[in-house]
Amino acid sequence: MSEPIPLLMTLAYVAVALWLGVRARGSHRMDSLEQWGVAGRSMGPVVMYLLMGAGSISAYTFMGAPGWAWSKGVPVFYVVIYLSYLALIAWYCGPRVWAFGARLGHVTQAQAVADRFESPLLGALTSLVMSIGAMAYAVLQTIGAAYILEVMSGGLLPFTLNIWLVLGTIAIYLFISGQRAIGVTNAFQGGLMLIVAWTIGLWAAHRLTGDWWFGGVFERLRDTHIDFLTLPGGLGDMSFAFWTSSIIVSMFSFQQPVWLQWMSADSAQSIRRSASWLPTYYFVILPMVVVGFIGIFSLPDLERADTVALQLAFQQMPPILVGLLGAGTLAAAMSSSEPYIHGTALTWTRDVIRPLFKLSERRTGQLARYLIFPIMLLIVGPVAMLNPGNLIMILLVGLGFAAQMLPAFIGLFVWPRATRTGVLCGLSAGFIVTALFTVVWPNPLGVHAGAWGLIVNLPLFVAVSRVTRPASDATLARFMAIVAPRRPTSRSAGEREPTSSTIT
Amino acid sequence: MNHRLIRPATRRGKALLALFLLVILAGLWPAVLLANHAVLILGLPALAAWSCLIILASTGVMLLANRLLPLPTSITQADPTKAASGPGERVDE
Repeated sequence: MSEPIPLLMTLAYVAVALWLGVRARGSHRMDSLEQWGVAGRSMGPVVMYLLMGAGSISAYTFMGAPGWAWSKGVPVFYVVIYLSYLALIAWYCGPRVWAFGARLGHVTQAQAVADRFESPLLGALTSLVMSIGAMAYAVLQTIGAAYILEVMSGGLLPFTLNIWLVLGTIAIYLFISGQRAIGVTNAFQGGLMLIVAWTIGLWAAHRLTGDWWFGGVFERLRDTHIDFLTLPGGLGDMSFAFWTSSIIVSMFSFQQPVWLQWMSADSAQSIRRSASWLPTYYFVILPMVVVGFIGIFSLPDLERADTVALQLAFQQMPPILVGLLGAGTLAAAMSSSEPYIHGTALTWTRDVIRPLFKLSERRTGQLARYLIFPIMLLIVGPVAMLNPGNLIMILLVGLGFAAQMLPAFIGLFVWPRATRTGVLCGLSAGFIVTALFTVVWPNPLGVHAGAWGLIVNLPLFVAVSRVTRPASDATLARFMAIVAPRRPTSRSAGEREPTSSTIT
Repeated sequence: MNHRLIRPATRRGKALLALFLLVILAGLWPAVLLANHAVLILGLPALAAWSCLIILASTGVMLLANRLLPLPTSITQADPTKAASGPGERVDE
């Protein structure tokens, strides 16, 4: 290793994250789901803005997005669009989810599903199947974090050691401070990522063109690689159908950590305020994408597209910027890995183990904290060490499946007639179709496999719901009091004076 | 129990729902064809500029909705310290 500054800066980031995470506990007891799981519902709008922003920006932004720009061009911007639409979903659903917690005592997503559909089985199923994608995601981010440390140390810190270094750091502050640690560290990571991305992007553009903006980069690209400026992109594989279906599937994937973020707000207003401004956070992607475009000229013969930003940094940037990039990328990876580990521990304990063994609320809260260790030691760590080639496939199936949960959320937020049988039928059919169209016949007609799943899932869900028994009036009344408080409860009254409102 | 789909009933609610849908449709085919040209706008490819516009439009429509449609009191005044432990817990007992 010729230059120690990048490694020292990256390790300094790990130390600061650890310090912040441990301190986040304050004087709070962490043996309840309310505290360890959702931080006592205490987070204000600024922390929520950074938490939601950083949580959705993974190592993909610092590695994958520049890689996509380098290999495909503008198709990478579909990420910016779907993340903005996720904010619209958060704006509408977030305050209602928060009220579920405040009025009905919910903590996890599966708990709300179980309660709404009067089915602990559906709740447990939600918990387990959402975990498939969550675990794959946590593993991928851990691999990304370990890879960064390996590169920054010039191979001095081996990949396997780095996995346990990263997981060990997360485990310490996650166990001690739970969701409070996630809130504080993600806020720090979110701010760091903004600074790093814009510094690196503007510096790289200035070095290539002499301007402190990106215009010169794209003018050059227009002259030499014009196909990179339009769909279907440089590789010709981002059709309009795939662009559209990818955005739709991604925006309707309600992930467990996102649900917990909403639950952790100090008020419904805080969620609305932070969600309203959240799309502006995603400008963070733009400068990193530009770094990828610059790589087209500077590093035309890369073996791996997703290393373009790091390679460019090592070849052309001063050590302090390399260190910043290392810290920023590690922040992105850790800020995405930790909420998935935390959320999985929480939902497995609350929605699977507790109903099975009839645990008390207090015992459940205690157990959830300890469950992060087996999850890391037996699943995330070993799978990350194996670095399986088909992990992306597992992740895609997992995320495709997450989208298949859409009927459950339609039932929660907009359609009281939705039944558990309808959700189960739609879910099963949607999952099978998604799995087949991911593994066996990938994305037929250029449409995302998850979208094919929804095409089968949604009509089946509606048809079966219409002919099966809905949840009891008492249960629906509790949910309708939150999602549509001014709606008359009887059908006849509703026909006379419809005063319900979706966007209120 | 009224089982019908929950929809906006006020003019404001309907108008804002239409705006939300407009912003969403702007990012999808066929609207995205409008931006699929190899021209630069403010130094960015048209599709990148379109994405930035969608970011601003998403924020704009939510800020407008915050002003026109405040959250109902059933949500804003829900007190986390008085969470019902009865019905919400009943399913797994």
